[in-house]
Amino acid sequence: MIFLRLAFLSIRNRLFTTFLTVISIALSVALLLSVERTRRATEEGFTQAISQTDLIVGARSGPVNLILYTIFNMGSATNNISWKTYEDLKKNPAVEWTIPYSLGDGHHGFRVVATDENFYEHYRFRGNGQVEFAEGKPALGIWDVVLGSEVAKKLHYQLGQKVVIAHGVTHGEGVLLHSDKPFTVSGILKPTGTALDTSLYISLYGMEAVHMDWKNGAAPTKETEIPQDKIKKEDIHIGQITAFFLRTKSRILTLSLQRQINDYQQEPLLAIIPGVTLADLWRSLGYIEQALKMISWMVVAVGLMAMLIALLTGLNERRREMAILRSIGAGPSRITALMVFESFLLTVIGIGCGVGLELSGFFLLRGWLENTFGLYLVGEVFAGREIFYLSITLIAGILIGLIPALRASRLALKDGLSVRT
Amino acid sequence: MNSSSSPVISLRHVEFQYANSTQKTLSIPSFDVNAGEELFLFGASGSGKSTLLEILAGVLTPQSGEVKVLDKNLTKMSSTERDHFRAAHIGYVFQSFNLIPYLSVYENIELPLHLSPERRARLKGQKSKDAIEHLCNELGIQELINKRVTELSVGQQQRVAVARALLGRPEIILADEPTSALDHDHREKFIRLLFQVCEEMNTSVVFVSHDRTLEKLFTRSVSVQSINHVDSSSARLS
Repeated sequence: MIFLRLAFLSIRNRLFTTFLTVISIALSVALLLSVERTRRATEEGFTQAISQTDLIVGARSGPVNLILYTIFNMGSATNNISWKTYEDLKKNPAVEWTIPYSLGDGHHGFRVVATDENFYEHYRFRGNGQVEFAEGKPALGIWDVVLGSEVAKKLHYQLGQKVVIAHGVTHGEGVLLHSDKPFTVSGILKPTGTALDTSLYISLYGMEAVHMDWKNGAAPTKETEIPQDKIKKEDIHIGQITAFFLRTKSRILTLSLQRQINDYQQEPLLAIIPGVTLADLWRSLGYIEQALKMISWMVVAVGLMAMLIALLTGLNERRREMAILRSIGAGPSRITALMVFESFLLTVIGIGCGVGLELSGFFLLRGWLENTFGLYLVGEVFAGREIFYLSITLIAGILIGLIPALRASRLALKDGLSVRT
Repeated sequence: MNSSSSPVISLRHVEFQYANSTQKTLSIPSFDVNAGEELFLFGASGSGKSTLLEILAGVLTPQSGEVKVLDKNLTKMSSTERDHFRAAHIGYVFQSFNLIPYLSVYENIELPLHLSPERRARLKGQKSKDAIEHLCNELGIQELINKRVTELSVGQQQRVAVARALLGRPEIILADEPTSALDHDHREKFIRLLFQVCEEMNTSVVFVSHDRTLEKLFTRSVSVQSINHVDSSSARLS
């Protein structure tokens, strides 16, 4: 017990160097934890950009392409799926719900997605995050449009405002505008930190309606143009969609349904399990993660080096102390243990402060991070991996503490009861 | 004073040489300290008296010969055994800086009890707090007990060091010029106080000094040169 007290009082006695040592360890631990937390939030944000969807189905292309244009608003579909096929698969007894997606139009660089009420009801991201309205209601009428939070913010749109969408353009300004058939903002979504924020949502009817008078991809002339007020929902015939999301009644049906869709005879289709493809995609981005991690480990090493330097430089002035302990019967191993215990204490206090620093920083900055970077944290505040990292840091601290400790006991042996220089 | 003449310390044919030295520091054919004795060991600096003291404490081991302390041969012990032996049976007082600066006076005195169960056992059930207070009373430092070490004068520090050395009644006190940092009046007072407590506990004292004015206070006085057969003029300074 007295040795715990000796070590404790000894580091308290050297308050200034102790303070600096603890700060350097604390800062490096805080950085390590922040990097880990950011990494996890990024990974979760990425791999859980969509959840509770078992399959994404599109025309046959590559899985990455399919996931990019459906989930991340990147790239475009090579082909569409016929409405007949969609209706057919929707009726499959294994299917619980589907969300149709029809892409192709844009608005000031934002993508326009045509979908139906299932999107508002079933679409999930990051576990159980769902589509929520900041104001207004879903776009269920032909000329309704719902704005993602980012779209509304960037373009300063309000409810009830008229919005003209551009044909076939998802990047930059459109050339061909559907200016004859403007949409009306019916709702604005809450921020989600996903690609939902940068999309506009209309109904499938709306998508068909603006193209109703188009022939073979050409805009209508004055003569063939159908006025907006003449279009009735009953007259609209939905011919095709780009892709759809699908939920099975039971997860064990997913694989067989996937095979069934991929072997679909009437039309070449591709069904992917989003989680698998997202995880693959994330792994291919893993080098960034590795680099971040390596840098933070180097910072931890620097922090521990600071402790080593502080302990080694303090050693000379403590030789007298060692001689006193020797005179009352403390052996070299006792002195080694005492010094190692000091490093242990310093590391523990450093880690404690680091964890406190990181956690308080995280809780203080949480709202700001979510709003500014869309960096959402789901899952536990403190994961097993953090515990593992902290244990490694602690063990490293103790091992590094062995260096001054062994030197101290060597000096103590050499000095005996008088300090020889 | 104990009249028994059986030696508590007995050295035979002890030869000692530092590892980095070409010359022997000590060569002692025979040297004894009797139980209850207050021995004054004097010699010029470099005569090997500190080295001798460290051999008696079991911190250094001679290359050859026999060092018997309380009938135990230190040269046959492992270094850990010698550390335990020192903790249990020997009180050591340095010239100065005896105390650990970040512990209180009380904690400094108490230290040996934590290192040696034998010393604690010799308190015979007396609480360590009572034993320390009793010892401090005798040494006239009872007011200092809860003070910080850094608030003490040198003389007070030396008395605290004596209290620590004597707590738990070790059989032998080794003192390495403990009075050289004190002024002349305080030296005699310090030594008388030391003897008074040691006699009460029947503890033998080996007191090393170069200041022969103190010689008269001791029961016996020995010159290091007279027992050390190494030519001191060429001996290593230590």
